[in-house]
Amino acid sequence: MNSSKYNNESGVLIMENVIEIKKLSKSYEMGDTEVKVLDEIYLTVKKGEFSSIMGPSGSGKSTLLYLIGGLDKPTSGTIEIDGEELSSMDDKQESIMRRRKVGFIFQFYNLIPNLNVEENILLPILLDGKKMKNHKNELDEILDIVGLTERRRHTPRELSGGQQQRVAIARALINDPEIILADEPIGNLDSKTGTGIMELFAKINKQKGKTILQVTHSKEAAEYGQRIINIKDGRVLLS
Amino acid sequence: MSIVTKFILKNISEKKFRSFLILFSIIISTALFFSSNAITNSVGKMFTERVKSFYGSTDVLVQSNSNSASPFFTMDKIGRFSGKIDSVTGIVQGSANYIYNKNETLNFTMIGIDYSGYSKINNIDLEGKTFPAKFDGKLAIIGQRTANKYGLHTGDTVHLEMNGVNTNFTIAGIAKQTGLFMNDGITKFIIVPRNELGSLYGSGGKVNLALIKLKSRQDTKQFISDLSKEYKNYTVKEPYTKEELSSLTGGMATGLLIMSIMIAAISIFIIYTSFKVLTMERLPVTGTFRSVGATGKMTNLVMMAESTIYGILGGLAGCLLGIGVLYVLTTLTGSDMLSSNTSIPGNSDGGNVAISFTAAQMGFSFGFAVILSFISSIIPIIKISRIPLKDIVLNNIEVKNRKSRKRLFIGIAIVTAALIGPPLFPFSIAGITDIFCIIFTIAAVILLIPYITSACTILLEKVFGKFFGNEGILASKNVRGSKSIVNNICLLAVGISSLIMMNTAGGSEVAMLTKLYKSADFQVWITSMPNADKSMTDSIKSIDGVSDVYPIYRASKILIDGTNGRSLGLLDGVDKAKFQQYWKLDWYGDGNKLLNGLDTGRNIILANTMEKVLKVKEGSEITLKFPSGNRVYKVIGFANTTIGDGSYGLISENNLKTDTGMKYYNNIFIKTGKNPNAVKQEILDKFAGVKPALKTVVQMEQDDRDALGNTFTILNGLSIVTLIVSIFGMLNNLIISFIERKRSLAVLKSVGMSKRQIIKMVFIEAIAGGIIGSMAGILAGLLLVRNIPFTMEAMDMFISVQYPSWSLLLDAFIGMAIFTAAAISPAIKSSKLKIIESLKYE
Repeated sequence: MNSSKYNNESGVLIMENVIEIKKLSKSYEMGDTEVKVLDEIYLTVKKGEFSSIMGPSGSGKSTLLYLIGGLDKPTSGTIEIDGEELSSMDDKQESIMRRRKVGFIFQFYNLIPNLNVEENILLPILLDGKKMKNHKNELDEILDIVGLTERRRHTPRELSGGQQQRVAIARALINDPEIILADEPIGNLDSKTGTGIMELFAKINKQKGKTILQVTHSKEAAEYGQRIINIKDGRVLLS
Repeated sequence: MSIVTKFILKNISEKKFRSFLILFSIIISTALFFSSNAITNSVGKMFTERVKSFYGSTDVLVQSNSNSASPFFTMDKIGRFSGKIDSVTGIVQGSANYIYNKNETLNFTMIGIDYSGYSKINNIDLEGKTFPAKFDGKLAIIGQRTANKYGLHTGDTVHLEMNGVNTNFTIAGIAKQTGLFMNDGITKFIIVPRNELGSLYGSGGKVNLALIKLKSRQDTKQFISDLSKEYKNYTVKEPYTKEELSSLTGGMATGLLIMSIMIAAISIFIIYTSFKVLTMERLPVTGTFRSVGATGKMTNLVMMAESTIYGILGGLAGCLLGIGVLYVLTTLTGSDMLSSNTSIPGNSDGGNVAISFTAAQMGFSFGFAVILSFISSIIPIIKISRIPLKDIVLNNIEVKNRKSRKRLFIGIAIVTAALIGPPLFPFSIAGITDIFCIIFTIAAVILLIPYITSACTILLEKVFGKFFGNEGILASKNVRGSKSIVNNICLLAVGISSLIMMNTAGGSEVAMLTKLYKSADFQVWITSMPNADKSMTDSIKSIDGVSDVYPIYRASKILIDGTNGRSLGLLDGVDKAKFQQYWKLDWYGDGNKLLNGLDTGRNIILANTMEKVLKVKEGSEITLKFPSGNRVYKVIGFANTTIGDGSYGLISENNLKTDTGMKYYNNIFIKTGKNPNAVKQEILDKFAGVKPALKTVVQMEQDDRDALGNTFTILNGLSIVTLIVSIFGMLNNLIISFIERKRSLAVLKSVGMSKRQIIKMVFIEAIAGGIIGSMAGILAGLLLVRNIPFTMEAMDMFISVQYPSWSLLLDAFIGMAIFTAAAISPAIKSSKLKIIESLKYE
């Protein structure tokens, strides 16, 4: 899948920006003091790019990811996802954006315990009001990609950590979103399983052309991507 | 204060709603348990006080009954036992109309006494000291309240109409509110000299009541037996018997006991679930305690101490509340219960309300509270103690949600036992076993609801999917997977089932009453009239307005041989020619033919209730135990009737007379085309000397309805309390559920669920829970209703259950409304939930 396009006049390959962040700030009230987590950040992520946000604990990397995914609200600044500004969206539009344009993967998998693998994967489809049976092919394909075809009827409790994270990845992919946001996706896994997951990310990035933006502490994990965004004290150091 | 005590008290005070809920459940359960135990005491005390107010220190009394040749008798034969008697006095009772003014005439019970003799048995405490040395002639003593109300003083003259004669009496004394005049104003007594009253009734120096005080109470039984031989056709008895006392409160006490069981079941459930959450929440602290050297036993003891404190606090408050509940119950129903006993003159007028309980009952109820709290919390505490220390310290606990098959099998087994058991239990143990069946039914509901929920949600998933889209499917799955929702379904089911049980019991009793009075085709009913013979009934017939009279012989409590003490509540000896004109019964077959059959031998027609209870059919034989010996009767048919609450039989007049030895009629049905109240008054006036007990049928029905209404208002009220306790439990569960689900809801939001979708889903869950809870409640309610007749039969009471139809729908609607209303707050909270904060919540 090609995520770039050519400028007709110059014939130069242009990479489209799918994420554009301008002057983004986020602060919290802690007692009487205001804690600034992100301080006027500018950042763009191009379509098809596999980027990793790195930085010390408390630097604001996860907060940045949550703001991009619309899971949290910025104090100031703008975030554009595929040309649409998040702050102008109401709850419904934001929810639709989370279902269709963004797939989120968390460190602790965050699966729904009373739903089985298939149902967890199909959640975004269900929430989109679509019929599950109409998405059987996509489901089969994704289950194949994440290697969980045999475990499709199991509940999260019956899966290992790595398998649960694969279900989370499959859930992020099911609606064929443009962007995959992953918050320390291997932070809770052993190194062997983590490697498997990162290889899966790389495969998805390459084969499906998905834009992946991950937060990680691991240099090895970051090296699976093409770009490292370093954050310190709420500011982007190197992009 | 030790650190541990401080820690426990802080824990209790920190989680205010949960502590309130646990205490609230214990308090309500204890209060009800206490009052259901103490009501018998209170009503008993009221009864004995009333008995004492009339009979004083009487140990044995002699009075006429339906076999007595005359209402009056001489006391000579009593004198033969003078060695055993401390004092004896004779009384002539009658009635009089006091004409206060043109518009107000009052009926008084006249008590003719020999002042000095009566004073030895029952003291008359008079105001002032101007009482004449000799209480003789046309003198009267009235009560203080009556005197105040009608402005009467010592020396005034009262105009009384007695036995059709107008007589003036001079007030010789005004009595204080003690003894006979304890309830003056409510009861209406006038004391006059015995000779004076006797001469007005032509008693010829005889009395119609003799009160005897014995030298030694230990001889009472033997004395009664000996004296009975002398007064063969009169009643010789103690002023009241234990049987009379217990029969006063039987139904109400059992109803209360059942309700307290229901509420206790809900309380156990609430405390259990609360402690389950509490122990999980407390795990990190428990871990810390353990890591610094506390033993598992010590941490368990801390939790147990907490549950005991809840029990102690709840027990104390519950006992206090119980006293209040007891007072309300006694006030509302005590008088109705007492009025059912007509052995005390003036009793049916009512009287003061007094509550009574023993220290043992109080202590027992307090112990009940502590045990209730302890046993409800012990399982979660033990479960936590089984978790390995490492997992506790690291808070590494995985909640297993596996449904055990054992639970399903136990549930099915006990519900089957509760269904099959009651018809099979022998009468002698049925009182206890039937109560156990109620407990079993509730326990089965709680055990089986997770499975019922699973099965229902599979169906609902499809239905909701069609109606509500994918949110409906998700909601159904959530209901199946959420323990909190399943717990709420349990609470709702128990609440609804208690409502159904009490509504049905009340509705059935009312229906039985309606049926009884609908079948009575006459207007005035004399329920007791000494020496009623043909001349007396002819005399009634001659009263202006009386068109016809039908007197019958009615025996009560006739034991049936070989039934472990069962009896026929009422047995009528009927005149086949007249019975059908007065009672429109629903006969199994041709009524005339059946009634004709009564005269062809010792044949009996039974109420249809008895067909099931005695397991008899046409042609079966039953042996009735009469004072003259056992008599075998052949069942020749059945009638669908609620006379005697269904514990009823009909035999021929001759057979009844022969077998019971009855000489006089004791029930007289009167037809009139005139105002029944006027006819009733005419009869009262005409037969003032024999003091008949009579009411118009309309009044009798109303009185019965009122008495029933009071009882069932209370029981229904308590079933609503059960529902309220359930609702509190549900709110607690919903809070727990919200905390547990925060993360899942945040995940759903993170993958694109909108606020509207979350609200929709939560409400669909509530509807699903409401539907399943209501249905399970209705099912449980019907199971409980099905066992009501058996529980009543165990007390020798009978009920023909009228299964509710439309009210069940109303109950289902109430259930759904409660569930949905309870979901409003969680729905709003869920929609406002902050994703990141919730996802970080571990």
